[in-house]
Amino acid sequence: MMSSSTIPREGSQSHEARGYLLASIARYISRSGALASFFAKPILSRTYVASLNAVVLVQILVFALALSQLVRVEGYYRYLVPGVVLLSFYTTIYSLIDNIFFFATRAEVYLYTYILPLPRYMLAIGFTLAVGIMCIPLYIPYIAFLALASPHAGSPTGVLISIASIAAMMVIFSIAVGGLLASIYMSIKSNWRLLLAVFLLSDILQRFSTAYYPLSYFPEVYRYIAIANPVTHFINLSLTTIGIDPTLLIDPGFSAAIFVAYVLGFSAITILGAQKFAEGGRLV
Amino acid sequence: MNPLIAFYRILLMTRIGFTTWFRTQEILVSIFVSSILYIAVFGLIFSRLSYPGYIAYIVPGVVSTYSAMLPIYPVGTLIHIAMGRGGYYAYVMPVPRWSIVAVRIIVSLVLVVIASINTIASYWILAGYPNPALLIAILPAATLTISISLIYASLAYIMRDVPRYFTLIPSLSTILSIASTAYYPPASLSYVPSILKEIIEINPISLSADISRILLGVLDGEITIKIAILAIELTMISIPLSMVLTRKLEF
Repeated sequence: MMSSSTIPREGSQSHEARGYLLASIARYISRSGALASFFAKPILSRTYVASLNAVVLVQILVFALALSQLVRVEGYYRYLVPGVVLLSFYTTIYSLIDNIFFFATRAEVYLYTYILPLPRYMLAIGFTLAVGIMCIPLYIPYIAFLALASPHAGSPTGVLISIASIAAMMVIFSIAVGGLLASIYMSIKSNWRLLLAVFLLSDILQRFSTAYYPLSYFPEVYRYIAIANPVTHFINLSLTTIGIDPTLLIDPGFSAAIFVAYVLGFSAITILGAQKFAEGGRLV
Repeated sequence: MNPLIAFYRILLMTRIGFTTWFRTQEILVSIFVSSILYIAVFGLIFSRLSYPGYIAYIVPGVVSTYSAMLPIYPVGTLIHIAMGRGGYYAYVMPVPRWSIVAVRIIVSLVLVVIASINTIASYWILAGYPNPALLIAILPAATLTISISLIYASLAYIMRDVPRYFTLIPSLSTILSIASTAYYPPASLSYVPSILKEIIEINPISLSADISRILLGVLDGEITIKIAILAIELTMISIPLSMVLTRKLEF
């Protein structure tokens, strides 16, 4: 039987072991993040940032304004502008994460990536988090503008809470996107099939999202695809936070449940899939 | 060089260009799916939000935007081939160097025609009846493709930097497409400042889309003036750029 004096010692040992494990995980993720930022920095050049802002501004000032004049829905511009900004965030992180995954695992650098003393799922998570965090500053001015134009703009605390909530949702959403892309990278070996899958998925997720049009205007057949689309729920939750007319939105509770399920599901696929398929073979 | 032999070699190069592009399934499949989704999702849902004739209105617009979007990659790979790693290979080929650009323009034209036919066919399926008159929309778009490809080739030559090209040119093409009347009638631009509205109306993509719409009876307006402005713009773009590119590439 275990003596009473040994129990606290074992407890503290397991506590120490748990602390050591958590510290190792944090270190792994921060190292993968550092590697991702090394890959992403040349892409996020001044030219890239200037082009991105020019495109988003033209979309807000011409595309959203002209389309909102065309539709019969009252105050449609308020619905369309956040949709344009959030969809732009989605396309930016999708293409950046894809670029980094491709560069690190399929281009010349893959030999270096394979010999890194990091579990591969940590690389995937670290890459994803780093890209999400690096992209948020690009969109903060637009998010601040949206929060200031929202009904919460009366109190500074309300504005700050809106900005923080959307920024947090963006980071969580990038984990879902990273997990989705990691799952594709783990399942497809041939490069041309991989490029095709990544491109088609991006196009389908964009078109069938509720960024430009509310779910109630979708034809019946398309609604199932839109509801199954993670981008729809990310945009829906962000629009709820901004205070868009709830009659144009999906129930936030339902959206939050699907959004969380996607984030957890894709993260689980990345961790388990990387252990099963990628270790000792292909990377994420 | 005997002009007949040069012509034959250019044809051979064009065939190589086609093989490179059309053997790559992901390009064909992605163009096929994207062009369907444009009409079947964006067009259909916005016609529910605005008015039923909207979907017929945007078909010529979408076809015109292909002129700005699809030449990006065929012309962009030109920098890799002629000015990058394959430069030595490209320069020792027994053909005039301008033919390297010409081949890319021909490939872009074929991509635009494929995507346009696909878009028009998707509309026919959704509308429930075939309207061959819609094929008229391809003509101005094809003419525009040549000029826009020349602009991209010139910019590629000036930049000589692959990442910068693939950052700037897609953004330029998106801005050209959005700041046009491809997706919305001129009346919906009433809130846009007048100077910006005029720029949007003389954007070559707007002119190309509007010419097709007037020919199809979807839009009212003076077609002769629009054709004249488009012809002037395309001539002003194409002739000097062709001369500069030919001269620069030969030396």
